[in-house]
Amino acid sequence: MLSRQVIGLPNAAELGAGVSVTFNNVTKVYPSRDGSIEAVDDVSLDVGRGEFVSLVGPSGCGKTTLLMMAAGLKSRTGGEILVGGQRVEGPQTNTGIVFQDPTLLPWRSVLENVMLQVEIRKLDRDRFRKRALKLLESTGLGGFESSYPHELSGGMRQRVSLVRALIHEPPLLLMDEPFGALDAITRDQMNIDIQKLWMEQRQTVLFVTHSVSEALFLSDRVLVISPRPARIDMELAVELPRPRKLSDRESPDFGRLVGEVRDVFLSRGVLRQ
Amino acid sequence: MIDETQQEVVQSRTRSSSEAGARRRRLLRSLRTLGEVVIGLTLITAAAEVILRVLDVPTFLVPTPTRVADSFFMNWQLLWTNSLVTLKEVLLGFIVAAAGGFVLAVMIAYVPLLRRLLYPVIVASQTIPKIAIAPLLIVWFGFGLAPKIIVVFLIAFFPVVIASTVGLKSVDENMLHLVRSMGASAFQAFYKVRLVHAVPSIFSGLKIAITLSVVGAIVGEFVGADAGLGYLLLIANGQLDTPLMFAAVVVLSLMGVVLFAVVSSIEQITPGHLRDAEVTDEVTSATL
Repeated sequence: MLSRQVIGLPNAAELGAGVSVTFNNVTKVYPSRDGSIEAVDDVSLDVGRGEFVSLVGPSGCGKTTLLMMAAGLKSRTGGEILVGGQRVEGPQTNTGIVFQDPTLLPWRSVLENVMLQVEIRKLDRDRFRKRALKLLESTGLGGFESSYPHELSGGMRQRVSLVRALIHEPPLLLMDEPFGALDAITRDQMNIDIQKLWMEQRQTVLFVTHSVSEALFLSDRVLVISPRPARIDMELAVELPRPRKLSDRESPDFGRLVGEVRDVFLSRGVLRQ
Repeated sequence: MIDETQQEVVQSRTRSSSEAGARRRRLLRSLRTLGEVVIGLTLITAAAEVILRVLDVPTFLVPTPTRVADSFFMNWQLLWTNSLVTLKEVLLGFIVAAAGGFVLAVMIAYVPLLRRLLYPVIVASQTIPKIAIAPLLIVWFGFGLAPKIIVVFLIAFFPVVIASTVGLKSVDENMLHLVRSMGASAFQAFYKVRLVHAVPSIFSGLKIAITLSVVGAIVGEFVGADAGLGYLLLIANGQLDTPLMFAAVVVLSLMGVVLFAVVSSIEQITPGHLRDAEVTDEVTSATL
């Protein structure tokens, strides 16, 4: 159903399969009333072109800060970040961003919300309008183009947000707990859908989540982040074949990976028994 | 997609097909509200007429509604020309207050330093009774239009500043992040997101401001004027022409209601009013 023809995407080679993302000794210190708060402490990481990488860690550990710094929406205190070989100095425009909240404009219809991306980027409206309609169709929102956000369920709104992040074919997709506010069933469905979309487009994805099993299900690589200040505690390659099925989560291999992450959380005191 | 989505689809379809029906229901509801208001006013007027006649209250104290109506028809030309004077003061003052208040709000919302500098001054300016400085304005600007516009501005700009600032500042931080990631300029972020987001708040400020503008114009005229409904009120008062005073008050109140309705209607055709309009509708009908 989500065939390349249906969505009208160029093939993976044309897309260039995303951009690489590199963090070199990145630090972030927030000034605060009583001294300063170290949010990120010397993080270095490499994300390959077209790789799906998740950041997993406890609340308030600085995962979101890492993501926002990659987007150029938050400044860093030290180190450097490269996206596609270019140093990040201001807001990055070659990204698509999905937040936990759908952040739609309530006065715009579904299609108009998606087209905001096209309007501001001054892209060809007719061409992207067709693409928007196809993407909406393929994410189960066909027939809802002229509905308004308040008329949709939470899951549908988040799909609109996802389509808006994908419409301009960004080489880098940044997702900050995109399914954190959804019910478990909708969340499973979104995991399946996002895997499908990603397998066709192969953009680079940085995905922040609390859910270990969601991270393992989706990612090529999972980075376990320590409690604040954020550091990379463990790197875990997930070598399960794709497309992955929900039932894969009950497989012994999957269970072993979940166990490894849990052991890190236990050793770091994030979890206590 | 799978069943769960299908279910959402069905639910939402039902909701959007009832949209047209909802609009019709809303129209019927406003008509009914209007009808209720008319019936209520008629009953109160009739009751006043009866009570005043039965108690035989002297006309110079409280005239019966029929006497007020008599005076209205006898003096309609006087009332009309003076209404135009007051209306001009109200409208000019309101426009200055709305524009000035909005510009101040944008400055306050965007520049933290200005917020710290201006906010206390703006709040302090509200603690000064306008009626107390109105004579001073007459000294400075004479009996013409200017002092009235200034009084209207001083009374009416405050709600515009406060409400617009709240609206402009309450926009979701992530929404602004998002448009910046799309490469939006500061100006695009302002008019595509912030401004439209603030529309309901701005209009709640404007609706308060338009009613206060009428008050402001009358205050200005009371202190020194040679025309206007406030001036007419003073003259009628001097001649103990109570029916004319009542007629002038009725005209003033009508002016306020009509101006309020005009501002509300402009809101309805402004983008961004969307669902908040329903909330306002409910507030308005609750107030009525």
